[in-house]
Amino acid sequence: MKNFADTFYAISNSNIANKSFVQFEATKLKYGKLVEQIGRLTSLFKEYGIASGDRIIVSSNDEEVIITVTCAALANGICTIVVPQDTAEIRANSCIKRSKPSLLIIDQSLQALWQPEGIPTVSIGKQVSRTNSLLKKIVGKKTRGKVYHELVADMPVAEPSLNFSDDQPALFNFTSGTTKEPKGVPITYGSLFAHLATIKRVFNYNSESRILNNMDLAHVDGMIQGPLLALYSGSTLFRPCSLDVQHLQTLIDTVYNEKISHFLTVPTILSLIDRFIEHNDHFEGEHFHHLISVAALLDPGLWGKLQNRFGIRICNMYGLTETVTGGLFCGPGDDFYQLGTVGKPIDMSIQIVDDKFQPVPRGNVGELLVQGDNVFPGYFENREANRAAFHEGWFRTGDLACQDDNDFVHIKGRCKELIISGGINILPGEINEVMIKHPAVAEVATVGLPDSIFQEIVVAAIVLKQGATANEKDCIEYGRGFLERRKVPKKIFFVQELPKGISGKIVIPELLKMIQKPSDETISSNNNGTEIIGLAAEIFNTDKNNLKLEHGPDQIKGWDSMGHLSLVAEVENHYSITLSAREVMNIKSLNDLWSVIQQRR
Amino acid sequence: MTDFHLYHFIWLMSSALGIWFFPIRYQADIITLVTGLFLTIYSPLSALLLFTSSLLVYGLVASKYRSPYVTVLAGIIYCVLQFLLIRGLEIYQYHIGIQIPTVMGLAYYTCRHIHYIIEVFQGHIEPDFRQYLRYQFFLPAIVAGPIHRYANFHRQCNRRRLDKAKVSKAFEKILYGYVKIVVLGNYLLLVIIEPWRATIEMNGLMNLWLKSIQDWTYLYLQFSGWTDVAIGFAVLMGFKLEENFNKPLLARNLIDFWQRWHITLSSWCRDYVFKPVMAYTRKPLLATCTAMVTMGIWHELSLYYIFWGLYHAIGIAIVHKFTKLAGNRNYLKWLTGCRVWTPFARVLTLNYIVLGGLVASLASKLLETA
Repeated sequence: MKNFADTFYAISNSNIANKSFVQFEATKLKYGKLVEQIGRLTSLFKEYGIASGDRIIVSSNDEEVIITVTCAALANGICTIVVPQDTAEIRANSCIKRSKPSLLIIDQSLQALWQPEGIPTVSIGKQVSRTNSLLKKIVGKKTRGKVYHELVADMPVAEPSLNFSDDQPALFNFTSGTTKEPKGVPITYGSLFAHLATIKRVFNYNSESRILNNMDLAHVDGMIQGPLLALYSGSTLFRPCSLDVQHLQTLIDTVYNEKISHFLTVPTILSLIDRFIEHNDHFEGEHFHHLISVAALLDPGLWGKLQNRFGIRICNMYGLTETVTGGLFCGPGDDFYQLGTVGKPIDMSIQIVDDKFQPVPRGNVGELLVQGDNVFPGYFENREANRAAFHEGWFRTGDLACQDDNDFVHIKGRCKELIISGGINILPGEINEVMIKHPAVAEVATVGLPDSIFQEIVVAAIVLKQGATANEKDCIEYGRGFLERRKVPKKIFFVQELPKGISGKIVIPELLKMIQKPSDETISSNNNGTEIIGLAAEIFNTDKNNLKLEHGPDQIKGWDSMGHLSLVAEVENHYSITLSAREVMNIKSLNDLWSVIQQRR
Repeated sequence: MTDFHLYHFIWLMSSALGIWFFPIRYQADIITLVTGLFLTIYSPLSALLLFTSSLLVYGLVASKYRSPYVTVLAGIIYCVLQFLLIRGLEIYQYHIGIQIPTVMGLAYYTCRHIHYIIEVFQGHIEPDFRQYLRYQFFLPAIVAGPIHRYANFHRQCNRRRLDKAKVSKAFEKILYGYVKIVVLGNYLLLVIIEPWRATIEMNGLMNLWLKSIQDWTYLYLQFSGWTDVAIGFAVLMGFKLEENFNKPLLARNLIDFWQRWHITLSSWCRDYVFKPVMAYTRKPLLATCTAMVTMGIWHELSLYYIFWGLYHAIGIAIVHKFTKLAGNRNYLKWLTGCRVWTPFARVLTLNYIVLGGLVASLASKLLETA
């Protein structure tokens, strides 16, 4: 197993100085420049008196800064905490307070918002002109008033200390907990490099690999399976755009035109790709090796559908921040692959136990416990959380699982209240804590509702105070003021009372039943969708069970130009409407036809 | 192979190899510039017409005129009139005493203009002048097509890459293309077979029959040959163009044939002539006749091709009628299910197509004599 010292020596080799380490949308960070930046940042750390074992916080829009600072900190035994940009002020200050960093490297805008007191801060922002800088050099103190890029540029290149031990934290992530009491997960050098070695071996990463991973750098899947994995394997990482629907086409085009070998993403993006991306030839060619789904459970239906559509095997990784990122691997080899499962553990031991921590018979459901070099040592200064999280050296994942006769692990649910939306873990308590402060709210319960894109969406059920009024918009706006964008409830349900058990605890399954009643509108639209399929089946003389709304001339035999006209005529007759010529020409699927009918009615 | 074809080949090859020395984000624009330069050197009129018509078409579709119907109609009328005017001038230039040089790629870019106008009108394309110039000034497709689609071209621009594995196949395709054009078409058919056919004694009809077979074979070799060259060079430039022919000899009926023969043209006629006429009039026969006559005129502005289009429209109407009947009549179901039906249908289809040349030739001569 290589550690960071080996990695640093490897990238310091002049042979790869010109090779791209990270390719962003418009710029490239080459290995040579990275090494130089590490050297300059080493001097900057010394300037601020930061040494091995200290912690720093980084938060910026500038991904290159986050990546270089993290790498430089790693090379000097300094632990980096990457805080998401949209972290609300209260939570950000809690993170700062708890982690006691020696330095903050944050955007200018955040400095004004978070107002960290008493902690040296380097702000990232617009560079002051060089003339100004020179003047300051002459008359002013070296580091005062300068922004990050100026400061770093003025630092001499120094050799990083490479002074760290395996049990020393390399990275630090705040996961779940509440707004005031965020739980810090330290990832040690030992676990980080043990896990990187596993991932590298399992997916065969090497210096030729071209990794596409544009997940958030504040999350372990974005940082560890992104720049750190690229660094560890001497390969190139591509971060061509942000992770949203508007850039989906750019993301998928990058796979083809940059000859990507490993594409890592979350099930939400896979679901969006399935819905909005046309053509099936994105992964063609010998360059592409693996599509790896991470961070959340991949729906077996979507999984199978995408595999058939693109003709590739989709691998799945199961893990938590507490296990660095992974631990169980479904694929890429046949021995480890079974659709719908999280595969088998690699370089990690697992146990499935009942509530008395006794192993359950094979096939039975119990809590999944894990143990291995990649498992973290415990939450940061949080004895209570650690008591609950560990049992005799085994980490309790909080996931309910069972293991089949072929050793494949199936995840069956969660035994702790956790919502996973788009790959982000959200603790309902954090949202309840905010929403209950709304002046009109008497009681609140937050749950996750199943969603085809995000796997789960956050919704809150609210009981209003007597005589108080509030609408959905008010409550959501209120939540936005205190919560990160992805944690804000997407929908508010106003209920008379919350279903409670004898002990007064809210009965979540009952609450879900209350708020999940399908509306009449949904039922009606489903029926009409079926009606169109029935009409098409009649016209094209085919079994309606074989037809779907998204089908068009390519999927339905007999849907030629004449069939098109017959279908339109039948629909016009059936619904007593007349379609315009433009509408007739625009119909490319049953769904298009259905949309036209809906608009007309 | 003429001198022009040799220069064309040299320009294509140097562009295909040269663009890779430039940054990838400018490569498509470099192809546009090279195409403009190529046209300006070898046919300045073609360069001027293509540029001005592209400018006008783009100006029309990008204008925020309140009625998109007026825009689309004005655009189509402009394209059709320009096409007919130039074709007419080409035919009657000696009668009216002027000489105009051949306008390169007119039939192809007229179709591309109309395709673009309608797709923007339908909301499938967001107008973008730079991208439109890239689309129209694409060297591999400028002389002899294919009538590639904007959406696919736009997508190719965004996902271009040079695939070493595809390079050898691209060279193979280019070689096949030139063999079809030069060896089989221009040499074997025109130099060897044509003089031989002219010497053999047979009645007029038989001779016309053989001439029709020869003409179709020549058309196939030329069109598919140039398409192979275009597709091959496009691959070398990192693009994947649409295929134009898909084993037309295996067509089991006339509709099937038009889905295999000069696919980019027949699908253009289907989408921008047949479908709109059918959508407005709801008269399939009228829509088919209009589409097939348009296809005929696209080949050549002559009586021969008008009759040729009508003949094919009648054939397509017969196939539709037969398919409908075959679905209802048991004896026809049995007949079309027989093992010998497919080879019989293939021979029948090809003969109907060959007969088309003969019928159109006779009909046009008859009308001209009358």
